[in-house]
Amino acid sequence: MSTAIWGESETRSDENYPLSLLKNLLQQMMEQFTAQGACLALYDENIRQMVIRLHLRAHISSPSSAANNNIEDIVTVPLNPRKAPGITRPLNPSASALGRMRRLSKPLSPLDPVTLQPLPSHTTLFSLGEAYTFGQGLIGTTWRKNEPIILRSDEYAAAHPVDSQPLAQNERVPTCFFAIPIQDPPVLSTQSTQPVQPMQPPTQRPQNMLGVIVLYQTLPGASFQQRQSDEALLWAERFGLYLQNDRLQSSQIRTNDYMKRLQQISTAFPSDVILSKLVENVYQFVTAVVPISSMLLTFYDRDTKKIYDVFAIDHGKRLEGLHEQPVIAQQGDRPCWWHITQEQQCTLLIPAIQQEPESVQQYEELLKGTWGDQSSAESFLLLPMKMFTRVVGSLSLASMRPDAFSAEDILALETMVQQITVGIENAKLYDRANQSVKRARQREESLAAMNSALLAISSVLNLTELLHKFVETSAKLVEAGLCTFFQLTPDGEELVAQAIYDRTGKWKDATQTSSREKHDDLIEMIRLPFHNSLLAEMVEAGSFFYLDTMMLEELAQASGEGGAIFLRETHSHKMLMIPVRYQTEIVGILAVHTPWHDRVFRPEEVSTLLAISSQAASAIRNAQLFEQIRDANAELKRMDKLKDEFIVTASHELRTPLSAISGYASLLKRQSSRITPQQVLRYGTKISGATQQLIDLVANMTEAAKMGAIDKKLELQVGPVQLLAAAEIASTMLSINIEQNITMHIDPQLWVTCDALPLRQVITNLLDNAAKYSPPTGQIVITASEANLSQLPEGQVDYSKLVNGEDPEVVLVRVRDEGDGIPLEDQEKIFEKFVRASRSLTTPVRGSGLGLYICRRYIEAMGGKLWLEMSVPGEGSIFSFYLPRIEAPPIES
Amino acid sequence: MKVLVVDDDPIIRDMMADILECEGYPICVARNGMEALKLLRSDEHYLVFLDVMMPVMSGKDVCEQLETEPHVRQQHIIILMSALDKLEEVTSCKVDGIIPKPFVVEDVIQALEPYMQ
Repeated sequence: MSTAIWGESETRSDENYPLSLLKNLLQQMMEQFTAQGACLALYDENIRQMVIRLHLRAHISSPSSAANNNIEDIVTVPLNPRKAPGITRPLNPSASALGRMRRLSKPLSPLDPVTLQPLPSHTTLFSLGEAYTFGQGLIGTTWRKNEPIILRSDEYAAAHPVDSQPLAQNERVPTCFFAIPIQDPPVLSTQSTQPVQPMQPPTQRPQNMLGVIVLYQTLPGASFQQRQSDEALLWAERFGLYLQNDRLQSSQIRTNDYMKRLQQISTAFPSDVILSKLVENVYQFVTAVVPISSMLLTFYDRDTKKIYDVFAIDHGKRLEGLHEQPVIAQQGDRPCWWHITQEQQCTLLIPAIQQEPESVQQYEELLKGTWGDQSSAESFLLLPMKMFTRVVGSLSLASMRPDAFSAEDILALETMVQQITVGIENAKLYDRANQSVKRARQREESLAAMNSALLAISSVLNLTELLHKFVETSAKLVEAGLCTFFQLTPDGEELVAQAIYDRTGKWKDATQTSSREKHDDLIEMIRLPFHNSLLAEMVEAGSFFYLDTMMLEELAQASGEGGAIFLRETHSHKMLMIPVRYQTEIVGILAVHTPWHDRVFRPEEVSTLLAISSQAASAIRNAQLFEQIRDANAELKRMDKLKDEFIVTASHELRTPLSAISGYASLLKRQSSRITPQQVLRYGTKISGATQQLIDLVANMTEAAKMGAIDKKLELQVGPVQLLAAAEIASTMLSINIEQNITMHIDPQLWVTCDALPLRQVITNLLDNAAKYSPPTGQIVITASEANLSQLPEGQVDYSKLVNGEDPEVVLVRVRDEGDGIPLEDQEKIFEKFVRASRSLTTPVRGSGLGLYICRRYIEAMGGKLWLEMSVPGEGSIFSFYLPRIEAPPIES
Repeated sequence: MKVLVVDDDPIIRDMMADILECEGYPICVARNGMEALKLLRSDEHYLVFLDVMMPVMSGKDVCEQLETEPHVRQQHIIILMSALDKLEEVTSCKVDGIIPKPFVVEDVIQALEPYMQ
């Protein structure tokens, strides 16, 4: 027998014992002791009995058939079909054991090999798989006595009547039995490294017996001698060493297996931090190591001070969804668990529950709970999950087998638990780190969003667009449904909504408008009081504030309809108000509805809004300035154009009288010696007429300039004026210069309140215009009639004077000509300063283009209106105005 | 050859009459281009003082119309009366003389004399 054979012959992946080698050994022993039969019983830990594993019988009749090695093909009865899959077997179990094995192998002198014969299939003598308890039968006796026993058949029959039943017919009855105990060699360092376990079970294997060899003789007269005992024990030791070696090997395989699994678990962290997967790993590991029926994984969270059952298997059945919704308990609910894990912090093993009713009672809390009732189990193990000095959880295991947890299994499980503890802690740290990274990233994202929002806002110069962007961006940054910007009116009295972002449609619902334009119109209806209101106080107090329900109601009561609807109907419980300041000046307020009931924005959200508001403030100011400048610029351009037009017009207007003056003056010079006094008079009159025209022109220009801006109030001396008198004066002044006839239909009883001088000027101007645009034969008619304000054409009625059922009396004056009419496109423009009908460039007429502008300003300043009532090309125009009528004053005596 | 003064402003028409009567030229007048064209389309030969800026039909329009009626155009002498600053606008008009406004008697005499020998 060589070591090569030793190693190669291993084909026992399914077996618990290296039977082929044992068989070999047993055969050799048979040869040594010239025994006709031999059997080997080995201790089975699971049932704690000696079980017959091998039984060999020599072929006696024909020694020549030795070549035909009829070894009975005995197969073990595997009690435990557990497999160790995919494991290659190491060939170096233990140097010392191997060494001894070699030494012992040497004295094996090759004898004539024993040929074996098939064992009768129904033999009752030491049949395979038969088990013997301590002290039972020859094997049990040898076990108990722990010494070789030699019995003749009669002695055997007397001592073990049960075993000596009749054999099969062709079997020979053994004449002599030789039983030798196989002791566990007291060797190897592993024993000393076994941890001291609490509640270590009492040894159930007396004398550490590994097995019993029984040799027997069937030939008559053959027997065993007492002196052979020493040699037999030597053989037994060989078996013992072999078995021990084998056990070490398999234990190493198991250890390797554990290591591999442990490695698998440890490599699962921290990349795999999903609890369910972790638990799966743990479960796989545990089931590979020990035969468990139930398992419970419990965590304790220091932060929440709660105990969580996150995984449970009850008699092989998994409780689903536990890791998503763990069973939560308080410290007080689990005193026993608390005591063992948090205070004692030690592994708890109950190897044989059924034999220790007091343990069941003591640890009932641990045996029952989320994982069902485990008090019927045979063994129980609780492993605390230690992290330095604290325990973060526990792993509870229950097995239906007594003594299921061997010391080294526990060691492996403890190692595994330690590892997953570290893993879980790592996972927690990883998760925390991840969360803070995530938060940082979120912050970064929101900063980026804010930045782009700020950029977007700053780049917009259109105020409306800017404000819409402002509210929209603000709302989106903090996920608010409704966000409104209120602008402070220039007088600081009110806040007027300028832009509203209404994602939830609350404001739309409140106003019940569908059309967008109308909706936009309504926005400016939202007005909140500012001056002397609680808003003004709170704006003074801080950079932002919340309006609660009471404040909202208080404000609603002080607001107009639009503001009240806004405050009440948008169903806000809390509103964040951020004053938008440009330097120290309040530009407006940003009002943000909190997204849901009573929610207050997070500090970073508020600071985001504050930042965007301050940016918006300067953007708004920029946009306002830009719009002002743009408006001013547009006005300037318009004025410039008007001025150009005026200059063109004025130069033409000036040129005509200048031509007359220049022409007549040069004529006077040229003809001075020849002309008559009548001619001199005529030329002089013409010159003075033209001069007067120039003077009027200059006066008009001066007057228009004096009137100043359109919104400047004119200083007037208002009093009762008789319309007829004013019209007559005007007409008389004018008729010198015009060719047309002026007809008047004015009741002398018509009096108006106004300043007489401007009124005369207006009438003069209108008549003059009529004359300018009419042929010399055309008729100019001026009429006046009394009317009520409401009877005037729509568009000319000042409705503010019609309130409270009043309908003031007015005098309506019409000036009609038979001129060319005014083109439609010019009809409104003619009232503007410096503007004349466009045809004026090719149609020179007198006047500076200021007349109608001046007239309208005067009439409006005196409480009336002036308009072009009708103009038909080729037929003529009617200019109308009205002034407030009064009763004629009593005639002075 | 008769003298025709075309101007919408009565002051100017009066003045032209005064000037030309003193020089011994009887004149007739028209208030705009349309009235002027009616006279020009007769067999009479005119020396025309034609104002540029007039309602209904401007002096420039009259010139352009006469371009299309060469037989009418060739029997008259046309002298435009144009504002000094508008002279460039009428340079395209094919006329026999231009008097800038305001003018003096001598301007009128000088423009007229070559044709009224």
